[in-house]
Parts: sequence; C-alpha cells; structure tokens
Amino acid sequence: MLRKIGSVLPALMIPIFAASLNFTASVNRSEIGINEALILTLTVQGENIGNVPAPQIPDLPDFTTGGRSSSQSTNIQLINGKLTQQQSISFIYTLYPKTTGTKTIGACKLSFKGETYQTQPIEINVVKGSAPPAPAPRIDQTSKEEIKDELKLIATVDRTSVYVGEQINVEFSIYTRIDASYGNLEKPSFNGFWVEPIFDAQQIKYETAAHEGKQYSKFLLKKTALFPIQDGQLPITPMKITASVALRPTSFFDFGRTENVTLSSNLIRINVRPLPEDGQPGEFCGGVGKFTASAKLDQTTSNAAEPVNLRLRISGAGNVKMIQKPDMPTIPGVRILDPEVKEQTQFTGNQIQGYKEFLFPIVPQVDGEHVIPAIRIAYFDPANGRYVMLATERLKFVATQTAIASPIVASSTMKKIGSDINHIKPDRVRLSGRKFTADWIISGAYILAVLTVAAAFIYRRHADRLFTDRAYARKVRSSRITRKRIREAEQALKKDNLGEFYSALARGLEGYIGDRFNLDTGALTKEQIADFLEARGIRSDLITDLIRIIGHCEQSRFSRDTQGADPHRIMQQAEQLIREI
Amino acid sequence: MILLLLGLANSTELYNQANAEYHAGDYYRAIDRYEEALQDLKNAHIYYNLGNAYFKTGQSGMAIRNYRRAYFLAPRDPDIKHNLLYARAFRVDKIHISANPITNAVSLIVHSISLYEAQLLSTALIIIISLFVAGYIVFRRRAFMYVVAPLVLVTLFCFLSWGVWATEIRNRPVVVIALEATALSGPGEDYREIIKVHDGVEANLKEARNGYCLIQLPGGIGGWVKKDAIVEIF
Repeated sequence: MLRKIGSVLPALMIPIFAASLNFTASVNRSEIGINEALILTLTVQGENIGNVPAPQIPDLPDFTTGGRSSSQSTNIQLINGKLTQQQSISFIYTLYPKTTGTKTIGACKLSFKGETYQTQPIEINVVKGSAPPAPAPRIDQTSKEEIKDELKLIATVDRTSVYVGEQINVEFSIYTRIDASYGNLEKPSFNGFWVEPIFDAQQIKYETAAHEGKQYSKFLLKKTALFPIQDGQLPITPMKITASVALRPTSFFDFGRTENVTLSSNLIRINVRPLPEDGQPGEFCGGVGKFTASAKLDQTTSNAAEPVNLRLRISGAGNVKMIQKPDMPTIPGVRILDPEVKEQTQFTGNQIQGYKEFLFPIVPQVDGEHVIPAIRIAYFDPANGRYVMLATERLKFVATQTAIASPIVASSTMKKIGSDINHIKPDRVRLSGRKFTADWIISGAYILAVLTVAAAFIYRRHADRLFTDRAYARKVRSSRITRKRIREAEQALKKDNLGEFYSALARGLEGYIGDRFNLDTGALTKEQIADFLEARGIRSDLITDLIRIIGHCEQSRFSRDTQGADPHRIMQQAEQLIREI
Repeated sequence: MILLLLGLANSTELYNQANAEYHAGDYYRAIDRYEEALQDLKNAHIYYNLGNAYFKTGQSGMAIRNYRRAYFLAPRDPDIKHNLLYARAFRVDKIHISANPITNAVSLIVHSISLYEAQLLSTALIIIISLFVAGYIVFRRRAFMYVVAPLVLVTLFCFLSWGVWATEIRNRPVVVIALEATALSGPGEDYREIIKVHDGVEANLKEARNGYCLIQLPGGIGGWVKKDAIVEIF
C-alpha cells in the first residue's frame, strides 16, 4: 500500500514563501526496497536565486547518504506584459536505507537573503527486497551513425539559377524520427547575397514530411530570402546545429546518457547569371522584379523659394531595397537637393513586396511656372528576361517671390573644440603713451568757460545801454570824439594855424563836457557850465582852469591876439584837464 | 621733450623685444621686458601683452591686474575684454554675482569710453557749450540753444562715465596673487579664519594695518589677508 504522506505530488508541495521563493522536497518513490536507492530532490524556485546556497538536510540516521548533484533551469515568461524570469535549482541527493520500516526524512532548511525556508517532512516506507519498479519505456542503445540516419538538417532552395538581384528563398529544416533537443546553431554564410530573413524558428513546430521515401517529422528552422549581388557560382554554406539525443538506460543502474550529434545541412550552389548588357537602358536603377513608378508634388505653389517636395515612389515585388536613386533631369531655374529615402517591405507569400520612396526637395530659383518632366526609370524583369521602362507623369508648380529668400546655406558642422586667451598684440613702430587720468590743467577750461559766458553777459549789457541810455551812450562815445578834436587841434598847431587850433580845442573841451555829463554845452554860458560842474562835485581848481582855457581860446579865436600865452602849454593843460575830469 | 621721445622709442623697442620673447615661449623674460617698457610709458597694448605673458605662466592674478589696467586705458578693445573674462573664468574661485540685465547694459555703455576720454571730451564740450551759450547771450538767437541741448546730454554722459571710473579707482581694487590666501577676522594670525581666497580673486582694499590688508569681496564678504598676498590694480 502506498502511503501518500509527503507525496511527490506537486499539489502537496507547500510553498513556504510563495512570493519570492519556493523551497520543496520530493522523492522519486515513496516505497523502496532495502537495496534500492532513494533520490531526494530539493527544489528552489524563484527569481534571482542564482547564488542560492546548498540547503541543509537534516540528520538521517536511517539512511546512508550517497552522491549529491544539482541541476538548474531558467524559465522566462511574459505574463500580462510583464517579464518574469523563474529560475529553478534542484539539489539531488541519493539515499540508501539502512533498515526496513517507515522512515521519515525531516524538514530540510534553506537560508537565503536573511530568510529561512523549510520543507515538509516526508515519510518513506522501506520494504524488504525490491519495490516494484516504475514502468520504463524501452529503447535500444543507438550509435551515432544510426542517429544521423534518423535526424537530418536539410537546406532547400526554390531555384538554383537566377539573375543578379532576383529573389531566391532558402529553407533550413530538421527532419527527425527521434526525440532530441537542439542547440549551438551555427548560421550559414550568405556571401554575395543581400539577405532578408523571412522566418526564424522560435519554437519547435512539427509537421509530417517525406524524405527519401521515409516518413519524418519536419520542422522549419529558418527561411530567408536572398538577392544575389554578384554573378557567378555562389555557394550557400551549410548550417550546423547540435542535437542532443537522450538514450534510454539499458539497465536499472544506467541513469541514461545523452549523445550529442552535430547536424550539418547540404551545401547549395546557386548559379547567378549577370543581367544582360545588351539593351540595358541608362535609366536602369538596379531593380529586378516587377515594379511601378509614380511621382507626386506635395504642393503646386511655392512662395519665397520654399522647397516643393517631389515624392517619387517605386513599388512592386523584387529587390526593393537595392533600388538606387534615379538620375533626376536637370531642370533650369530649380535646384534639386539630395532626397530623403524611405522604404518599406513585407512578405506576401514567399515574395518580398514593398516600395522605395525618394523625397526630393526642389528649390525654385526663379519665379514662374516650373515643369518637372517625366522621370524615366528602368528595371529588369527576370520572368521575361528583358528591361522594362517606366515613366512618371509630368508635373508643374508655380514659384513666386524667389528673390526675397536668402540663399540656402548648408547647416554647418563646425564644432568648437577648445578655447584660449586671445593672442598678444603685434609689434609696433611707435607706441603712444596714455594717462590713466587727465591733468588738472583741464580745470582751467572750466574757468575759461565761465569767463566766456560772463564776458558775453557784460557785452550784452553794454550794448543794451548804448541803445536805451542816451547819457551812457554819449559818455561811451565822448572820449572818442574828444580825442578826434584834440588831434585836429594838434594838427592846426603844427601848421601854425592858431585860429583853427583854438577853435578846435574849445569845441573839443566843450563837447567833452557835454558828452560826459549829457549837457547841451553850446546853449550854456561859461558860468552855467561852472555851476553845473560844481553841482556834480568836480574839484573847483579844475573848473577854474577849464573856464580859463575856454575863455582864453575864445578870446584868442576872436581877437587874433596871440600874445601872452604859449599855445603848446594850453594844449597840455587841456589834455590834463580831460584826463582828470 | 627729448627725454620723453627717447622714452617712447625705448619702450617701443622693449615692447617689440618682449613680443619676440613671448613668441619664443620665454614668458618670464617677456614679463620683465614688458614691465620695463611700462616704466616710461603706460600703454594698453603693453598691459595686455603683459597680462597674456602672466597668464601663460599661470599667474592669473597678475594677468587680471594687467588686463584691467589695459581695459582702463582701452575699454573698447575686444581682445582685452575677452581675455579679462577668460582669465576670470579660469580662476579657482567662481564668484557669481546675480547680474541684472539693466545694470549690465548701463555698465557696458558707461564703460564704452575710458576715463581719460571722458575727461577730455567733457572738457572740450564744456568749452564748446560756453561758446554757444555766449553766442546766445550776445546774438539772442534760439538756434544756439538747440545746439547746446544735445551737447549737454553728451557732457552729462561723460561726467557719468568719469564718475564711474573714478569710483573704481577710489575703491582701491586689489587682486589676490597668492595661490591661496586665508582671510582672517582681524589683522593677525590668531584671528578666526573667514574665507579662503585663491589666485585671481578681485576685491576692494578697505584698510591696511600691521602688514595685513582688509579686503572686501564682491558680495560684501571680506577679511584681513597678508599684505603680500594681494596687489593693488591701479
């Protein structure tokens, strides 16, 4: 009777710490014979447990401990968009029972990251002799050669003779009649081909297929579209993969072994024919397949030399990605810049289809209507073995105000890589000195400025008085007129013309007094003049002298009596009088 | 007069020799020659080249001192401005003064003429203005005053510039020439340390006592440093 306590059934494995780590114990059998071995497997499951220590197994007085081994596996799962990496490490112990009866394997302990985990105890029933063995599938020992018969890696192509640029599909499949696991894939080389992967096996998916009269399970490992880029015999080198075949144990004590076999696919040679030279048009752009071409302008007007985009699209089935930029015709009055290239391909059946688009910015340089002529593009049609010419529609656009736009400057790629002080000033023939501050002499300028303004004020006042104040004006002018008369008198004296002399001197003196004091001297008698001068506070001796000289002058003028007085002396006295009054 | 001319010729010769030393990479000898040339002649180019030579020998403080002198004489020279800013950016202590754009612009305009130019220009303008005012007084023509008004504005600008430059001198700017100097709270070794300053830091000299100088950094912080750790700019 089988006791199911501490069973191997996973349902009874109780996770101790479900959130991060599972630590469970299991045995391969719950009832064993005394001469048989018991396999105790302690399994640790969880995330990031790569460095988990070996668990402690309890004292097992009823068992002799045999060997210990461990195995590890990683399982990556994507659940609800979240990537989880479950690792599982199994520690495997071989135990040999000492006595019969019901034995208990106590709780095993594991300490990891500060937590201690425990397993449930397991009860084992040890019986005499052998316990009934588990049914084991029988399989014969197989040799490597035999395995190779049962397991093949085969490469196939859909055609072996193509033109340069024509699509070939190559498939690598495993044909198998036995169970195996695969690893160490060595990719074939596709030298001389443009490679477009179609399919890469992520998981094994079998289908039934016949090969050389035998029925095999086949699964597709890799499928690739190839486009030859050169002519000649191009080889597709073999793909290699290592298959691990589990051989079934031949006896109970044979735990089974794994045979590793390297599978290699067959070498394939492709005969690549060059494209015919004859009749290859100049417009050929490298396309091999079946294509159409279209051209479109994204706008039909351009203001201020704004670029208009020409969208040239070549679409179809074939080596879309190998199509070169077509030559653009030279169009007077516009500048065609280098295009922006977009491409998109997809597989439809086994055929690559898609488009390649060239977006040419066209910058008008003169105003007016610009015509973009039909753009001619040629491709090679391998099915018919001839070149086909395509032409797009003629397009037009109108440009205005191109002149106001500044010339287009390519964006600079200059980059500053360092900095330093500016260099020294050059040699000089002559250096001039500078002062930090000006001398105090400059303050003299301020005095000068004040004096200038003051002088202007004084002059202005004087000029005003000449106009408004008659007395002032006469006074200012008196000395000038008097001097003139004295000079006349002097000249008369030199000519010995005494009559003239006295007359001039008298006029001079009277005029001077009149101007000086603003009097009308001609209408006044000598006595009146004397009184006036006295009232003005002039010294009396000067007044007496003045009256005397004037009297003398008049007397001499009218009497012609020149005796008794020296005219030179009188002249001097008169001049002194004028100075003093 | 002859002596002055001889001085000019001699200074020019020294300046050209120093340039040759500079090109040869012998910056220390170039420094000596430039300094000698400056004995007889104050010239912005000599100060500028001397600043470069000091900078090449790693003496930021002395470089800044001479760039500032050169700037004082020729404030519109772009090389001088560039190297002064470059040397300032190069020094150990980065002093960030929050710059008000309006203050900056005003400062730039006011510093567009040197003190010497401001003084000469304002003096000349004062004389011209006085002549026009006199003309107005004498001839009573309003046109004279129309000329005077803008001249007065220019003169006021010159006075502003003059005042700003003069204030800079009056503040006694100094520059730290020691690699590192400790500013203390008093003129003596036993005082508490306030701040460490490094080569090239500019400050104003407030007071000198007992072989120590009280300096004030931009922003107000300051302290007493040893006299030989700093040098006056002007």
